[in-house]
Amino acid sequence: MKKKVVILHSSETVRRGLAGILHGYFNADIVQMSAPQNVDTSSGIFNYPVIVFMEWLSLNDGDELNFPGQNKNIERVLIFENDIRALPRGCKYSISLKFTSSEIYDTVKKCFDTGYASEAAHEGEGLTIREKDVLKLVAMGFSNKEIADRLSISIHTVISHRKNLTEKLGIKSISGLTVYAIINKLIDTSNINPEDLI
Amino acid sequence: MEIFTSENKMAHIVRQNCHLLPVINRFGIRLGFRDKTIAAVCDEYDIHAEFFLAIVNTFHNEKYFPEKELLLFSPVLIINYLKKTHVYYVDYVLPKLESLLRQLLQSSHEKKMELQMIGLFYKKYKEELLRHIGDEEENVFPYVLGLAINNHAETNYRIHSFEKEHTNVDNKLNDLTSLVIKYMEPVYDENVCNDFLVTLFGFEKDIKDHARIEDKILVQQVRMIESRLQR
Repeated sequence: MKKKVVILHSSETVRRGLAGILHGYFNADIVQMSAPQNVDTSSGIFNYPVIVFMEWLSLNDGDELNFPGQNKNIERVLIFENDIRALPRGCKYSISLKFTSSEIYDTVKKCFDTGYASEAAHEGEGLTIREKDVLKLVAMGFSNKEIADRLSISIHTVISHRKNLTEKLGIKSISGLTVYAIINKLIDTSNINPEDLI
Repeated sequence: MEIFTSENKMAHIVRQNCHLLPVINRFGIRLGFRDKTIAAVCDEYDIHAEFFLAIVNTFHNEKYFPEKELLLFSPVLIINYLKKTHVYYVDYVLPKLESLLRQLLQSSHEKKMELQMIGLFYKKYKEELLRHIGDEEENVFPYVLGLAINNHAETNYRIHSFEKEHTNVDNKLNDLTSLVIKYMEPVYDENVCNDFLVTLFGFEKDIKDHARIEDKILVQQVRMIESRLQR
């Protein structure tokens, strides 16, 4: 299941940039993007698990985080302008606009992998949809370059997905990954002899 | 972890780690040591005791790797040991794994796709391992022996083409274990499956040790000889 994400930030550049990163790396479903004051809470999107990336402007470390309510369906990731400050109660994750994309990737991955909001997506060793896409193509014998072309992502991203696959599954070889894909019915072997793939 | 010395009783090291038995056997040593020390048994069998201890300790203790000492031994001794290890794998471990795998397949009433895939993966792994062993026996070892004994290479073979291969074979064995532990459907005879896994773990450890001696010692020795001969 795709992770649903709301991005609340006053800068459109930040909103769009973050959306690009979350979509590209995690195939996240961006359900709302707006300035914090324009957030639409009426659409019911906060009734199901959602991860809210929100601008945090409070100057006082002790300020309570009361938006968008203490709903347990919501995991919050605060966006800081510069340095990360102490996080308010009820919030475990934060990123700063000074972060490199790989730092953002690591933080978001942690949030996606551990939070309650990711539970629904935790089928099959917690592989993301994108990782499953990559795994299928690896199992079918495609090279990194071919996989990148087919999924319209960079080779670097393919390699990063493959690294995650190996870490999550504990399987390193291509033929091992292929066996996993067949056992878990990620690829249809009715028309192929599995022996040719492994 | 204990490092064995030549004054230790041979019976003591077997009691400490029974997995050393096949290693000891590779030197031609059999049971019935009485109270003899390692030095005495090695003397009796005409075995280089220091070499024997280096191999046994390396196998016993993953953190122990006397690189400098091992590099001083003749490649002939090392190859002899490695060849014995190959015989143990090909004649004993692989057939045992296969027989257990067959029992495992038979113990499952339904034709389970998971088991069949694991069987297929094993088959491919074995093919690759045998190819690798064959390459060592036919190309690598004769080349190294030629260098060590006659001080010249009889073929155009060079050691650097050999090194990458290991990781592949090692990874597959690791994957096989993971697949069995994590993805086996529970419709099998558990005792057979446990035997299979225990054999697999033992094999994994043995083959890692084997690869470590080849990569860190044999390859380094050959590099040194190659550069001495200014090839």
